Amino acid sequence: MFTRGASMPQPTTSTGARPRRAAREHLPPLLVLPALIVALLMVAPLGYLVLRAAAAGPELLPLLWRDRTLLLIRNSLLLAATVTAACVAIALPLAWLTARTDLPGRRLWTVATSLPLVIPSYVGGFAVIATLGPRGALQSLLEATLGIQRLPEIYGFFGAWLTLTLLSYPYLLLALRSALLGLDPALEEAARSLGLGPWGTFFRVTVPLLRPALLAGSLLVALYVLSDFGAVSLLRYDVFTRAIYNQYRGAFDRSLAAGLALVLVAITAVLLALDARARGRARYYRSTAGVTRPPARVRLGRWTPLALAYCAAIVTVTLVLPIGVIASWLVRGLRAGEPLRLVWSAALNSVGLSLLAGLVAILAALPIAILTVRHPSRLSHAIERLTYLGYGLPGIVVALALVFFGARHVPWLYQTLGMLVVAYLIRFLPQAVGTLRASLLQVSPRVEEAARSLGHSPPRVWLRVTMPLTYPGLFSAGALTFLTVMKELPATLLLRPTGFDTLATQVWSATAEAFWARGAAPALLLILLSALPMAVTAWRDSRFEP
Amino acid sequence: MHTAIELNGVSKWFPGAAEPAVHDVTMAIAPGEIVALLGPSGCGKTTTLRLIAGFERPDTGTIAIAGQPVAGGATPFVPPERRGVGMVFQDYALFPHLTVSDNIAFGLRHLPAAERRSRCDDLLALTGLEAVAHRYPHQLSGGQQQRVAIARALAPRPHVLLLDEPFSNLDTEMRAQMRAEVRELLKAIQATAILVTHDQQEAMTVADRVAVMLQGRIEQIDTPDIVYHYPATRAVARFVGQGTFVPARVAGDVALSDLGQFGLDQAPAPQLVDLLVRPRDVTLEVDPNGVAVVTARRFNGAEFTYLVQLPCGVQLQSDQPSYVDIAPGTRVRVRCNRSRLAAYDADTRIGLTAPR
Repeated sequence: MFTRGASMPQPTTSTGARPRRAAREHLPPLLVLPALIVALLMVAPLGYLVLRAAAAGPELLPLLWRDRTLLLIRNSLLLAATVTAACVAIALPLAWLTARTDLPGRRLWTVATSLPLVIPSYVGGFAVIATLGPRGALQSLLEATLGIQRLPEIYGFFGAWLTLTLLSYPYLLLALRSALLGLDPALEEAARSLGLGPWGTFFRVTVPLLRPALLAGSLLVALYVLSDFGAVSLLRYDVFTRAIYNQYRGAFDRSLAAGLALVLVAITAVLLALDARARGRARYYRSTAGVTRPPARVRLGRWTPLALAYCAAIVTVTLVLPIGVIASWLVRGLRAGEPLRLVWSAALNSVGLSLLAGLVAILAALPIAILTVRHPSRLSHAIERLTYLGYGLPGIVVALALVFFGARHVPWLYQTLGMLVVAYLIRFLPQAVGTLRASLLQVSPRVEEAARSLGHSPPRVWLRVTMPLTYPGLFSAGALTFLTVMKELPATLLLRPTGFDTLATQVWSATAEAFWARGAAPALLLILLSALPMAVTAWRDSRFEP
Repeated sequence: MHTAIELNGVSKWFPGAAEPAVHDVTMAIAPGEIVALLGPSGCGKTTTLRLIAGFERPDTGTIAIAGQPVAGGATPFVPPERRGVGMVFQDYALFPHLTVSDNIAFGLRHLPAAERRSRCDDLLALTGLEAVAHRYPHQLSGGQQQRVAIARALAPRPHVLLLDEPFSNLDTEMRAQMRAEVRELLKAIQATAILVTHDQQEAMTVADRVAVMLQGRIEQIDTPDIVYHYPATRAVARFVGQGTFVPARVAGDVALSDLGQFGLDQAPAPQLVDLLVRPRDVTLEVDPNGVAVVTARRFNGAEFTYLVQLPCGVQLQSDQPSYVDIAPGTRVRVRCNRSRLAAYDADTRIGLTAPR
């Protein structure tokens, strides 16, 4: 307070009455209406699934309450836990080597080790089976040279664990790397000045500071494993997603599939809640924002060859080997006269469908993004929250919900491309909204206000100022949706029109029937398509690193 | 002749806030006048500006621009694009996808092309930006960006120019230069302008009148020298510049203090008043019989700042030229060198005093 002893002067107002509170900011109906429709579309299927399961509750409970369900829970959690543990073991040294040492070729290693992230799990599964499976590359090699007839079984837990570990360790790597890069070097220097040696500093300061990132990254991996459908199905390990699919395909009564789906949703929800808490804390831990001094790099010295060998081994196993094996199958297939005609039509289908989904996603995300960025209110917040629902739902659950809903209530939409686009929208709208939000946030509202004070009406301001400034965001939202839809498997599998083949379904059916050569071309195309944009962005981003 | 801007009992509440952001603000600004809204952050000065611009709606009160009501009362709310106000934003808010001349011409679309070009050229010349007309905002220095922001806002010949902390993004040297430049420019074209700032020096150098805003209210609106030397309340006195309140005992029409006797121009007064003494309002003379003692001094580059202990217990702050060299511990006589000082009761200025 400024005043000493006495209170502030209070000039008496004309009326003693307190002026009415500000009326709620009115939201433009042109935005609210479409945003509401999209939001409802997001919730409807899941709500329906819950209703169906609730209606079948009395019969469903005894069906669910079986040893098999417990086995599924056990398998799912076991897989999630072991994959996560393996990922930590791989990612922690990698993160440290690329972020904090003078490792030669850091930028290259950084990009190469984050690439597996974008390879779809069924392509990874395909690569693992085509390499290690019966009649796979390794066995053919061993049989020709050493006469070994059989390899240990790849199907089951081991194969699923291996595939998912190789694909999902980058989640942890990215989290740990950015935490390491974001650490304020002053903290470590303070520890050194207080008498701790380099190792003491690492274990008593650096590692505790990494804990939030470790937790957040681990939860991401676990979520990925739980929701994965492609790898576990191809490698025939009995977890929820596979059981739901089989139950749906094989059984006459589909409400058990719905029940299983809800159990999976419940497990996922717990992990998501943990994830949200971990993230909140991670933010809390980040002590400095903005530009800090880059930390001093540790000299590897004579350890350099060992470090290089480690990085090279990881990249070989996760990237070079799978791509090499797939490529060799492609060559073999071409020599044997495998027709590529089918691949082209599937590729065309994939591209067309993904373009459509990308366009629809932009249109659906735009009102929601504008509403949340420019007109924050309870309603717009709620709408945004609803759209994030699909984010946490495993693809198989979304697909199943739409199957139920579509078959019963909108048969004219069931098994049409329209239904498929709706499924993609539910799963991938959050990332489109997120991207648009981010680019809208970059446009200062002051710039829009400046345009208005210069005599332009709101729609004109949008057209002449906001739009031109958000083009990159619109484009990347569309591109991101395009790429993810390209790779999507479970919803495509369940909801596609009969006879409609995409690259994803081709890899799937070829692998399931052990036609390695037939699956090679679409798998390779998908890897190129996923990895190239990621490699370009990662390479560009890493330029700005210290 | 009507006023350029008139606010009448304007209040603004933000949802969830316990206190109004703007509380019963009334002020009138004459055409051609530059007024500074001066206050600490969160005092409601920017909200007041945005109410005038039309980016916020007042909850009570009315606003008129050039005699036309634009908000509040019976009139429908006039949106920002139809108010004829130019706004210069703190971060300039230049359109990053447009060149300097396109930025300036942005508000001129109602004009035919030829006229638009000539108006744009006029403003480029006025602000000295001809050489960079075809550059993009990110290729300009901070000072140039600010000139573009001002030129863009002035281009459509607004009734009033609103400037929101326009100098805060400039470095110290540039800031001093731009203040003078902007005042000169606004005076040359006889623009009406409202400047929002938390920097008292800035308010005083640029504006004709300064409105001090504290906790949503305008506490005082007056010429810079009156606001500085005769603040209306203690709170204003504390916010605007440094100073010391020296107590004085009132006897009849005379106030007795450690600085000597003062004649009150307005009796009756309470028994005790406080006199506002700014750091340059007193002279110090070394005097072994003086009642005051120098306790500390600090050299600030141009002059000494002395801390002087008065018998009444108050520590007086006094700036002296650097040739006045008095060691701490020395007894001094403190003499007031102004013809008048402001006197305060508990909160408010109650009158002036003159040394006797």
